[in-house]
Amino acid sequence: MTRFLLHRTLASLVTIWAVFTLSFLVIRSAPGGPFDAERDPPAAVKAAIEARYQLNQPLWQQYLDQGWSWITLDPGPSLRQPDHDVATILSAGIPASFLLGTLALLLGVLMGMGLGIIAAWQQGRWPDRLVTIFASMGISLPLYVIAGLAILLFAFHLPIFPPAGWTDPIAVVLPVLCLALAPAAQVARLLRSGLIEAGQEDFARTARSKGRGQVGTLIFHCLRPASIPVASTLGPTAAAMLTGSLVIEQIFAIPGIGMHFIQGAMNRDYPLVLGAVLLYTILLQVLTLLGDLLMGWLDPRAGVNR
Amino acid sequence: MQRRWTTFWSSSTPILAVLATCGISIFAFLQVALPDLPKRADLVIGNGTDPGSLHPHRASGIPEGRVIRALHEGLLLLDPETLEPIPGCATSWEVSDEGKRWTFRLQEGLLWSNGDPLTAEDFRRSWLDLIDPLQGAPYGDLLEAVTGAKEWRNGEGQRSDVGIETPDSLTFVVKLNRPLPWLPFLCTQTPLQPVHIQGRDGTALGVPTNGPWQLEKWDLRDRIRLVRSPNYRGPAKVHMESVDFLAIESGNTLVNLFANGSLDWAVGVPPVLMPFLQQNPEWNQALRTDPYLGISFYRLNFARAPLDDSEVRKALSLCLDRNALCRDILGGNLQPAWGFVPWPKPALNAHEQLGNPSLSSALPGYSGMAKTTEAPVEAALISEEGWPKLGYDPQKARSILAEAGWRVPNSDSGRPIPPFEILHSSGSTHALVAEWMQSSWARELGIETQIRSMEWRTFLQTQRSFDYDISRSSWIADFPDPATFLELFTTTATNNRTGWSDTEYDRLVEEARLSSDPQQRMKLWQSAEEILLDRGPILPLWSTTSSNLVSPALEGFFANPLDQHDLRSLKWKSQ
Amino acid sequence: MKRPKAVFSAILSDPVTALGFVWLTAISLTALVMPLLPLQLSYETDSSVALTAPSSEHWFGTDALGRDLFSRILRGTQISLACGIAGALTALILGVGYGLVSGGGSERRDHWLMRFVDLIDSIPLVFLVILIASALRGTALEASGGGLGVFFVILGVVYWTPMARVVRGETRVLARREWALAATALGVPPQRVLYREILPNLVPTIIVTITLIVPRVLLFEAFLSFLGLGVQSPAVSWGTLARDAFEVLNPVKTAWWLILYPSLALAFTLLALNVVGDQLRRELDPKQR
Repeated sequence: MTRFLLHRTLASLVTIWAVFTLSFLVIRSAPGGPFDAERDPPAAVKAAIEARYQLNQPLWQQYLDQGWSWITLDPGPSLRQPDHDVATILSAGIPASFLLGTLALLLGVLMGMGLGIIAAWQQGRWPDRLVTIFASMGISLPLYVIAGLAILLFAFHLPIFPPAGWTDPIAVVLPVLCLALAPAAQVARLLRSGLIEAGQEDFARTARSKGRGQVGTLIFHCLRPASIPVASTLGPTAAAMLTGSLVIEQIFAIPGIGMHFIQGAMNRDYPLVLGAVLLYTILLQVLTLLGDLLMGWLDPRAGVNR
Repeated sequence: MQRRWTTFWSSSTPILAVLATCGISIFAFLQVALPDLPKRADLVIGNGTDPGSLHPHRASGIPEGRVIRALHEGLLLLDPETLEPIPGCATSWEVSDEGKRWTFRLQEGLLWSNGDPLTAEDFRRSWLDLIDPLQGAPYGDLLEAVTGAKEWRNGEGQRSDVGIETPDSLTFVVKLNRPLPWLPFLCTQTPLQPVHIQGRDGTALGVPTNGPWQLEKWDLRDRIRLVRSPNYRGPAKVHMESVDFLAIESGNTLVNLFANGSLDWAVGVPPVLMPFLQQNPEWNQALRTDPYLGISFYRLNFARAPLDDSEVRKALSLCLDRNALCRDILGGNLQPAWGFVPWPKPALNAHEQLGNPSLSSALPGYSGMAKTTEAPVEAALISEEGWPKLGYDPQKARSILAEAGWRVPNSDSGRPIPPFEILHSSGSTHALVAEWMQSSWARELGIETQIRSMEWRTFLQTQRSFDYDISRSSWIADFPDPATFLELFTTTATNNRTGWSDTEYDRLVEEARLSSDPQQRMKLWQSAEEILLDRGPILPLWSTTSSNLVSPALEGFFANPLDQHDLRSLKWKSQ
Repeated sequence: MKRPKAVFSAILSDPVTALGFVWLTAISLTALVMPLLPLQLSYETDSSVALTAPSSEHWFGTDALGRDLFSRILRGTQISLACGIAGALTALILGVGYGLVSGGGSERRDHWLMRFVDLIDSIPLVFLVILIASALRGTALEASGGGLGVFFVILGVVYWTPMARVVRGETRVLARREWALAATALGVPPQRVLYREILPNLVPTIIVTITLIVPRVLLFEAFLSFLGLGVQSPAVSWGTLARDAFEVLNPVKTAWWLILYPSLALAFTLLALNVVGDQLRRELDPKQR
């Protein structure tokens, strides 16, 4: 086990380095620079700005500097918001994003598991159909349409929640619900088909023949093997949700970090976008590892203890 | 059936119990994890995107300007209604030496927010830092008319040669090498605000400011809170104890929060929502759409055939019915542009005739074009002196082309017009306009065009490297004078980006810049614009309009063509 | 495995599934004949009928520029369908192949192949998209199909990894099953075990994964439209229509038709995909023979 963990950690470090290098190359090869505007300053002024941020150095030098600055956790100021450090900007967004992501993920997985079990148990009957329809709706409407409608319904027609904002606990409800819908639908669908499949396996038949009820068999015997596909998708889903959903952040005006991925790239804010990518990658590595451990527990045959 | 339901409930009870427990613990967690709900500020502004920088020299955007002008006070302020410069830090100012020497007298006893005295030397240092080429301030070129400034920026002079002097701690003298009638206006603008000595290295946070408000906190991408500065000694009598600027990216969210009462002023309304809001009397009261000194146009690349041919350029322009564009494609809220300098007097008059507040008085010394035209346009839009310069006349376009030896529809003689490409930055409105141009030219002239759309920075890079045939552009006034638009296309201008160079145009612009007689200046600008429209590298499309949602209970918010609304004048009706 | 005809009749025997099948066929046909229909073009706007509710003139009402929504939804079918098919194809070809090769091979090969998948998945999607779009600037690809050329490249880069992961994981599980181990012990070549014994057992998983990936592709297209990076006008997709609908959602007055019809088109299609996919899975499942 220790060896496995050590191995994985090493592999993760290599992945992180590879992602950093790749992202650095990709963003630096994108045309245009951070200080371009419709009203372009004279060339000399632009050169002065670029010199201030060492953008006039050879690319390999900048690569090493950037890499070192991240190793020492001192990435310097953002190019678009030079009043703030990249580290400050990212950490300012983390609480909101993590809170939103954790709640939505929790809610999504719980809802999804409940619905998946009900659907598998009532397979082919109307509760199953209902769950299927819900699951399809949850993943078939764009998030911004869902959010827009939710705001219209629950902030204006029935004024229960505020239409946006983040400081009020009640304001958290709508964005979390909207964000939880997709993972709930996904988990429900995967779990349902997993449960149905497992229900036909020999061990399930044995359990039923030994007097376990239908529900009991599903929950106590089939849930574990049926959760394998769910666990394998959970890592990436969790990373994506924890680093924020850009759409939800924008519509509900939540100060998370999701926007940095796109705005950092669009504004060519090199240190900020590299920071955001690194954060995502590290988080993903950790969560995937957790997901794999979970999978190993769920299905010892796929084993991690090699 | 009965039994099945019993099993259902007995099996779902644990799930429900787990869910309920989670819900309760989450709510408890939220109570602890979320920051304390801040007390609502006296004035809450939905300010669009989070400001890039609050340093006057580094900021370049409009949301930044709103915050910075509340935090700082320049030599002068703008009258919120007429836009005339009024006393700020300076109590009086005079111009001498044929418009080339300005002297400002500062008010006594001014303080920075930390209690430091504010003197003319602070202004001198700030202005010099703005010009300093090594500081890299994007708006440093606004002061290039100051003696020695341009030389310094070109690496041929030095700081001490620049003509800014402080004979004593309350007198501030600026020497120019040409008249700069809009210098008082510039003194009110973001880049020319005084910067405390602690902010010299470019930091903005924790640096004292001299405005009526000071920065209390900046929660990134959430809110900026300003509170009254105890050390403000200036002339403004402000009414708001605290002001919040909320960072809100989405236009829909701005409208939602305004509807909900969370915002008192929302900057910018998505154009597609305009018809909805205008239909509703209550909303229509809050909605302010006013002329805005900005122009939307296309640049033509002079190195590319067939755009290097002035007959082709003229014909392309004559085939664009800007009235139809504004009415059908852009939703009817914009003003068609028949010249390059936006909102000429006849357009403003037409705007006023529709029952809008008068804006002509807000633009002292500003004048758009007013010349006769040869081409017919819709009668309703012709007013004073046959205002439209560029006309809509496809028939004439075809005859111009035929005369110049190009092939036109229904004729076999002449050279075919080579196809070209329309480049725009991504965005649904831009795409529609490009398509509309494509179809107009295909219909009227049989020209084939391709459309290409690019992400913003890529687009800018492409335009700057002349890798386009015709490309979408826009320009917003830095100051209310035709100069801010017409200086754009001189041979040496940084932002020309078309390869167009015309000695007569350059000469007229240079003469206008040097002229100290206002009448003469306007004539020169008109002649320059005439050349620009006749053989220049542009296709003007529409003049821009600002849009704001302002609480009807708020007083002191005036329509104005620069969309600058000083917070100093805002107050609640009951106050 | 069942013969296609039997599968087909099984699909038609269930009314709901049959309905889904009919819907999918209908939109595919619409996409095919779309270029022949006399539909309004994007720039043919008519401000006099802007935002009118559904009527006999305009069956689904009109949008903010007075364009007929019914025409636009029909036009959007083509691109949305093309996106879905492109996503499914990359997942099938790249993803299944990669997953089989990785999961069915040696530990070492599996390890390195999966590290590469990890690497691709470790880069946030939006970041990649913007930069791929920038990097492909000026190429013929960018201009093709209203910016769709770039979009397909992005789909190719991104949407095969989930399938590769799932197939690889299942392959590893199946390869350790007694029957697979027995086949190998009996001297059947590993390739043969992989393609003849394991692949058929993967079919249900593959179909389920595809019915999960296609919605994601369509939603991703809609997401790009939200950011203004999606299909560029004049091309229309259901995603751009949904974006337009979101933009007119406001607390004053709702143009319900703008949100209802594009949403229904999207939802029906994905629902149909699900139902048909489920039925296929049931029919093709080797264990139910």
